[in-house]
Amino acid sequence: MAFYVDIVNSALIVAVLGFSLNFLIGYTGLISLAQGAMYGVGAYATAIVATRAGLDLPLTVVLSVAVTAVGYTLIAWPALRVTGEYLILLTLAVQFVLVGVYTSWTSVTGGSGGIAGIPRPTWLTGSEFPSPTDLLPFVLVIFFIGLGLSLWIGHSPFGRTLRAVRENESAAVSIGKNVTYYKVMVFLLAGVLAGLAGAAYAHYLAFVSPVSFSLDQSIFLIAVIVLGGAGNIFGTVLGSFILVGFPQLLLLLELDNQVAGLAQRFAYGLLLVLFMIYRPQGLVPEYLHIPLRRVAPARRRRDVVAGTRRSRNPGPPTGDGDGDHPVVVATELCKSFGGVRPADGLSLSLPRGKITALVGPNGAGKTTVFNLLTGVTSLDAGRVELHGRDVTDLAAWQRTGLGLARTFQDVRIFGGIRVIDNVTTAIPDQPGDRVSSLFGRPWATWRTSVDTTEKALSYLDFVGLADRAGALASTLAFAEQKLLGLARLMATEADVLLLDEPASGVDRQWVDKILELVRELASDGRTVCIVEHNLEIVRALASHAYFMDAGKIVADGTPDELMADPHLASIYFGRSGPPTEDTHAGD
Amino acid sequence: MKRTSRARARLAAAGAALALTATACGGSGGAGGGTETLNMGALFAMTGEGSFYGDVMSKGSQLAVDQVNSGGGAHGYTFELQVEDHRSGQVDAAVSAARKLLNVDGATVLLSSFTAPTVAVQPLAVDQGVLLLNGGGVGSDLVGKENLYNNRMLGAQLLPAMVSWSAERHNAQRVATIFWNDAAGRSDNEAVKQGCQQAGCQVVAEEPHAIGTTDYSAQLARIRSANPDMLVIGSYGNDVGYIIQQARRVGLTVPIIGNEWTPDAAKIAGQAMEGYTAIIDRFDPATSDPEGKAFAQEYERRYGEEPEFYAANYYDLTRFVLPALIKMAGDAGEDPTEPGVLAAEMATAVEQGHEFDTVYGESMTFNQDGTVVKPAAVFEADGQGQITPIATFEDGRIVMPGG
Amino acid sequence: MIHPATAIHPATADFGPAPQLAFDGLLVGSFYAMLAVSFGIIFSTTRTFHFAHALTFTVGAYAGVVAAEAGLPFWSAVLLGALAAAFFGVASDLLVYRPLRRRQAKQLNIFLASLGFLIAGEAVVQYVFGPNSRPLPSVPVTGVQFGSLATSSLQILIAVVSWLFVLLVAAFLRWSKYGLAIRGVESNAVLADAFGVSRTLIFVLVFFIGSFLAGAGGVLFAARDTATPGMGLEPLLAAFIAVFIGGIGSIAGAAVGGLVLGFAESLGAIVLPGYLTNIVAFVILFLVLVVRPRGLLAPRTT
Repeated sequence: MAFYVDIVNSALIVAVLGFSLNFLIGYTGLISLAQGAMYGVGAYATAIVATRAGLDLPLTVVLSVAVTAVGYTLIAWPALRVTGEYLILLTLAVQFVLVGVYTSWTSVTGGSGGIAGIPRPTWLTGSEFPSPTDLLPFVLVIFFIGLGLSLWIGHSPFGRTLRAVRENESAAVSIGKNVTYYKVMVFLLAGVLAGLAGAAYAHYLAFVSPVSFSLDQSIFLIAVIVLGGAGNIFGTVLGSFILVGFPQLLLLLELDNQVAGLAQRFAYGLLLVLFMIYRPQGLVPEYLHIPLRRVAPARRRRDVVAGTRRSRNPGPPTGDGDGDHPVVVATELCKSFGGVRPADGLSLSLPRGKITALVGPNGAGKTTVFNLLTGVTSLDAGRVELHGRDVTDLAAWQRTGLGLARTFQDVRIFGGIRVIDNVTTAIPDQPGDRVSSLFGRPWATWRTSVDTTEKALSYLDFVGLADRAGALASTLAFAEQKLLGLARLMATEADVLLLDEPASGVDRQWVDKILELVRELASDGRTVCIVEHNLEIVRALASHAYFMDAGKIVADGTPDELMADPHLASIYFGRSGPPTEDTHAGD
Repeated sequence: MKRTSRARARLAAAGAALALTATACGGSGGAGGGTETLNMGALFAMTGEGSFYGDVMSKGSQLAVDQVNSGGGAHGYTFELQVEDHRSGQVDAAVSAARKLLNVDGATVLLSSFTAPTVAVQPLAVDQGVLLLNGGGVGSDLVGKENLYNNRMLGAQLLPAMVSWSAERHNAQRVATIFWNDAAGRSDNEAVKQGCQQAGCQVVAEEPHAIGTTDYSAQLARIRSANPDMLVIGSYGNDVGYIIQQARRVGLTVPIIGNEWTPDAAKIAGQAMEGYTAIIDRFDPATSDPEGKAFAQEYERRYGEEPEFYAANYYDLTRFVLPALIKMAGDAGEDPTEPGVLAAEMATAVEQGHEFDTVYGESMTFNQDGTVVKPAAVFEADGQGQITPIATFEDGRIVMPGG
Repeated sequence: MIHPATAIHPATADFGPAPQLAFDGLLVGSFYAMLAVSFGIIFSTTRTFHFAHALTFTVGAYAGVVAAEAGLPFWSAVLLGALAAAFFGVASDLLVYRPLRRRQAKQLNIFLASLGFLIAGEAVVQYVFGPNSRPLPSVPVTGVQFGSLATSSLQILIAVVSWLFVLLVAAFLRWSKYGLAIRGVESNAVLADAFGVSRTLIFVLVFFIGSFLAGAGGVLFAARDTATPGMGLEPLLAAFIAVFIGGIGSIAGAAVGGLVLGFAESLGAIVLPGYLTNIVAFVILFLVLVVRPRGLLAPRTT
């Protein structure tokens, strides 16, 4: 009996450790090969304070959690600067350095001999040498704390934003998310959970030594995540029970030790390869049950369009009637990349309720202007004002919060999450979108989730995608993705909308629908600016247009006036070259 | 392993004539029917870098089990041995394997190896009243632990005498040490200093290294620059082979001594091993001791190789220590398969200074802190993977034969 | 149970062994340079985080050991090991990475598949050859002394062979037709396609070259130490680190990264206890990634 309970206990502890890693890898797409070593931070913290200072539960757990959370947050700092294989290498380095510390700092960690005699929670188990069954309640408590925490975080607006960050960082910034904040926070939360697991491990085994926190352990934990299904909390539980339990149960078959051990390693490795090739999503997909709570769109289309725009910092003299007062004023913008000057003393202003177009030949720097206005690219010189306020020094996500948002020519929807979540995550000021409100205002977080879903559905309804709400966004057709991009943009409740080629690359019947939506947005008093290559669309939408060439505004007027100018026409049609501006690296 | 152990039992019965020679001297005549089974568990390094140890330890203990069983059991009990893998020192694997051995297989005795796994399972052994016997691990963490007894001599017991004797022998004034960066290695290093104090030599370089390293250039460069005239190794396993090989390659020609030797390390060092002297548990396959001879012959017949001292240690534990404890339990009218009985008998035996039989010749006794006192000797290695005894260790001193 | 660590090593720098340590650093750094080039050429061309390169190294080593045990002379064993590794590397690309690329697998998934392949492969190696260390028989080794500097003839041989291979690869990339194609794929996959170079063929080629070098390294390593099933990980970690220190996409960068790493590890022993020197590599990697994520000698491309 004790043998089987031991398997359960071990799997439960591994599951909590897996939750931690799942937030990094599964939710946020941040690879950590240091999970084993961070587990060690938690375990050693408990081992040291319990044996040296005689501290007992629950203080040991609290301390472990705090130390590990701080430790993991410290990794976040360099990790913010690197991605992909660099992050793999960085966390690998952390893994090895920490294990080196465990093995070498003999006076504190006991070196490779480890620390023995860690007190068990006797007041909980009633014995100094408790059996696994005696310890089961303790492990269960830890597990349910971890599970509860993970489910609460994972299914909250915060968790949804993590997934958005994973899918596309620049798009997450464009809907007003401070990506740095989310990355730091997810490392912190991963540390909390890893510390919880580490403390439980130290008390459970009563012995810690470096071999338990090796690179092998880190790899094992990643395997738990990907086998169970990255991004799914229950998948992690399943993964831990399979990978912890299976080898243990194999012991009962009494196979030859050497052969069985190798066969097990072989199967484990092969399983990883096969899963990566044939089922990278793991056993339990990220979205186990796609059906949504059926919420009838309570608002009418008009309400959606008119009711939810905002400008938190309304400029001084803007009455609704005063439609021509510029909402955005850009003055003398300058930017150069090496020898190229996509913005060279460029000024423009965008009036309320109007659609302004930015036209010009390929390579004129139109998309760069959007990047400069939204703050994705920093200015060399110049000034951007929004509602009369100088926003030049604000980050891109902050400008979105003040009501300046954009779409992308290449859409950049969050492909791996559901259509509805693409929109929901963009709704500003949700309780539970930040860690402080997630834990400080749990009731508000819980209550408003219904509202936000309803709101999101009404935006989807507005663009005609309500019936696709539960699908993965990547399954949408390109034109539908453009519409989803619009719905997401609306959900930010921004009142200045920068649309980068809103109708390019879609079929004729979709173009008309998109144009109609854009017109509708502007007629409700929003400020709209489009970058568009198709002059027909410009003529159909815009009341005013700026003509750009080589980083400068060379003319402005109504689209018809500009098109009548033969000089501009020669600039526009006279050149041809590779489309470099729109694929500019770095954004 | 269960299947193979039964197959081996049949094999052993076929060769019972040889085995019986050993039983006759073992002092374990069957008292009573001999139908009850005593379950033994073993935690060895069956896979991973240390699987050399797992291999010889399981061979040594299995041979003993088969001999006891074919001789009618030990005082009414036949042995059933179940070996599990701790993957060369993985504590998690060791603990879950120990739970399986104790709770599924119902083992009442646990043979263990390596320091960390042994320390990790010791609380379980205490909890379930199980006797824990280690014949391989050398860490100082193994000393003074309830229910745990070690029959491999530790560096702290052997090295002081070895160092002072060798320093005099080679007229060494400046001693360098290279050792495992763990509790075992560090206590070895302290033992070397102690030995040096006695002999009046000076420790000029102390180089700890990570366990399992294969590149010692940094340590050796520093040792060379300290210009020693003797090198003491406080490391174990293959590491000894790499150290000696590389020391010789970089032109360090001074005498090298230590307290470990394995055939694998000898294979790694090759020719460079020549002249290395080690003080280890004195098992000599060419011994004249009857128990030792019988063991060596049967081991070689069955496995096609000469036994070394790790195999001998686990053979001793299974073949002599356990039957003696079972007899004591029987005399006291207690059931050795009950929790706590064997451990209690062992404690009594240690207190009484009980002399256990051993293949090392003479006898062995245990100290209260769980360490062993038994014959040890200084061996000198040649370049062909062989060692020969050159001196013996008696009462804390090293004695040359005839001098 | 816990000993005071401070008593063992006073934190004073000892410069006595410095010349020897620098010499050792040069030798081991040369070996790292070759390994770094072997991994670098694969990684910068295919962007495959080929962790199982460690397995290629091991396969080469064992092939060399088997050849030497069968009585072949040392140089034939090195060549055979390198060839076996080369074919093995190409096979791993075709069997593991190509299906992944076809499915547009993410970087993480390719990395994990590579890890799985390494784990499974090590188990097979251990099953076939046993867990114990296998020395390479009949290696020509003698001690060599240059004044106060000492090493073995084998170490010098390894360093010389390493640079020979590095230069050969560099020359191949610089002057041969296929070398140009490889560099084309490295800098711009789309452009290379336009030149009519088959990407598949180029990938096979770089896996062949990189694995050949790793295999040769494996046999030399087995000659210096021994062959064990898990032997590949440490040298290949050194190679990864060297590549990332030097900067991806540059043969010179990888080679210099290897040298820097060798020197740093070895000279670190002046101030650090010997058991900490293998952490030095990771500390350097950490610092490089934090301070200059694209590597010290990264080529100036976008």
